[in-house]
Amino acid sequence: MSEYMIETRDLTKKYGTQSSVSHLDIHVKKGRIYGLLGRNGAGKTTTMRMLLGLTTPTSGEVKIFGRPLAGNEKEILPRIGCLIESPGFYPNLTGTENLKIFADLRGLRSPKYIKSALELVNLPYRDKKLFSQYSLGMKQRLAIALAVMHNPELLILDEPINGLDPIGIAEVRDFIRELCDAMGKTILISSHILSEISLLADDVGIIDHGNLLEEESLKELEEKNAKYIHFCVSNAQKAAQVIASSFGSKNVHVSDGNNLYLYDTDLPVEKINRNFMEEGIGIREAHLCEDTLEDYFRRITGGEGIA
Amino acid sequence: MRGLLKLIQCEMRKLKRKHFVSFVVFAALLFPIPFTALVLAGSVGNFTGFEAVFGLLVTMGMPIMLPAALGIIGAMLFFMERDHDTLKNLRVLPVSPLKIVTAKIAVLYILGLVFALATMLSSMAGGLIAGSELSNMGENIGIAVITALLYTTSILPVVIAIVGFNRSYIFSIILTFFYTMFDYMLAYGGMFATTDPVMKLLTNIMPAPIIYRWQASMFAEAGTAAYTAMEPYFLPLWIVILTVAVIGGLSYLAIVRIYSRRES
Repeated sequence: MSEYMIETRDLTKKYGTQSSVSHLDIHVKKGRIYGLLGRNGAGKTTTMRMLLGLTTPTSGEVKIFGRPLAGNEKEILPRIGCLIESPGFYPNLTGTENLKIFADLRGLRSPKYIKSALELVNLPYRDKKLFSQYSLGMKQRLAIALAVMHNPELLILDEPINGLDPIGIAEVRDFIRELCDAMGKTILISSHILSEISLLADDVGIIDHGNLLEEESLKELEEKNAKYIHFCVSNAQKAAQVIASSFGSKNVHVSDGNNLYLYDTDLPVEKINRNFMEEGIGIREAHLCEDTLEDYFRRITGGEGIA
Repeated sequence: MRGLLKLIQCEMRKLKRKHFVSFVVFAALLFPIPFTALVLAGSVGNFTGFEAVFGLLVTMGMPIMLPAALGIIGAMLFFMERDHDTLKNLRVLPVSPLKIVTAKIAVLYILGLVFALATMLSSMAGGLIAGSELSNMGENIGIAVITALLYTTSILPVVIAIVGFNRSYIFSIILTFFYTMFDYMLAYGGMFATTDPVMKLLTNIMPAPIIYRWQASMFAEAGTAAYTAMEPYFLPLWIVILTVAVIGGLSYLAIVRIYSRRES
């Protein structure tokens, strides 16, 4: 069996002449959380729809559990839980009634499936409140309950924290992490919120204008981020000379008369500060800094940052 | 097959708290009131009071009420997945568009049968009020059921348009009423009252006139002028069932094709 739970090859979706997704090759490993990061309209949802057979690819192949999705939907799809775009439920039914419909269609006879799924997302079982009366956050929770109700091996979650309040976001994040760590689920999650992906994902795919720009583990991405010590001093030029003469490092950048960036982060900051003071250089600030994932995202997409 | 039955059951549950469905059944129960009044006020010929009320309901009540109500319920069933974005949840189970369409149409037939039952019960009540005994019950139940199934099938061409145009409820309601009234008027006037060849042709391909040509053979009183005028056009039940089944079958295939193409 393939080491990947999801593998796409040259996956492309065109609407007319416009490509929504272009030659996408993503690889989601078993037991990990894969974060698909991109701006709104980058092609995340189209990709996820193709992974679920909701949208037919123009070309390319989708393999799930090591098997092509096309022609094997009946065997593959029941093993997946998903949340795609906005939560879709019948407004005239309660949350429990809505889940009961899909539980019955999945052949889940025992009410325990519905009950435990609702408990997981902190929604009441057999509540009389209709779905139309739910808040946006409750709707999103119900959609997550639907996705996990049948205990799937693989979860495909498109922007699962949309509409949740900060506490709800933290809860869902912990819950998703637990699904992966404690229950061994593989999770593909998309978001345009970079901080969410950086807090949750093990592997990250960066998608922009339908193209996958980067696919690496979060650890590898973080290692790529530049680290430096930022000094705000009275004379940056003189400070650079002190570092060169006292510590033998020329790996510095002086941006103006007061700001100096030292890229040898292993050098002892306390000693540097003492030497600066001995040389009569006033020190206002000294910080250990690191480029954020946002800086990285901005750099590789060649544009503006992301939320 | 079991999966399809489950899907039909779920489609029925989706109509919970949809007040229009309850209203339709309620209307079916109320419909005999004017007909009972008519029977009480006038001559019923050789028919008993119950048979007269039942005949009026089956030939005048059901042809108007049933297609009109089922057209609107059909729009509700097909639009609910679109309006509430629930189709994706069904497709990832996975349920094919063919099964979804089949289940929704099956619901229309079930509601058609519920309507027939309500019609039967209300005509029994009307007959008893008119002071008659309940005669030929088995035969009349059969007629009510067959009529309901035929008129449910008659609405499927409208469902093609509803699914195909995929527009608003208002559009679907207007379309349903226009079709129902046109079909109904053809049943009464097209065959017997016109010599226009186009109208004659329409009465041979539209469901209501075809169904009425079977009904008239049972509910027109033999020996009357109306019976004599209509007699040459009477059709046996098997021809009516065959013709309406062809209309229904072609409509079903068209609905499946349109729905599958659009939703995949």
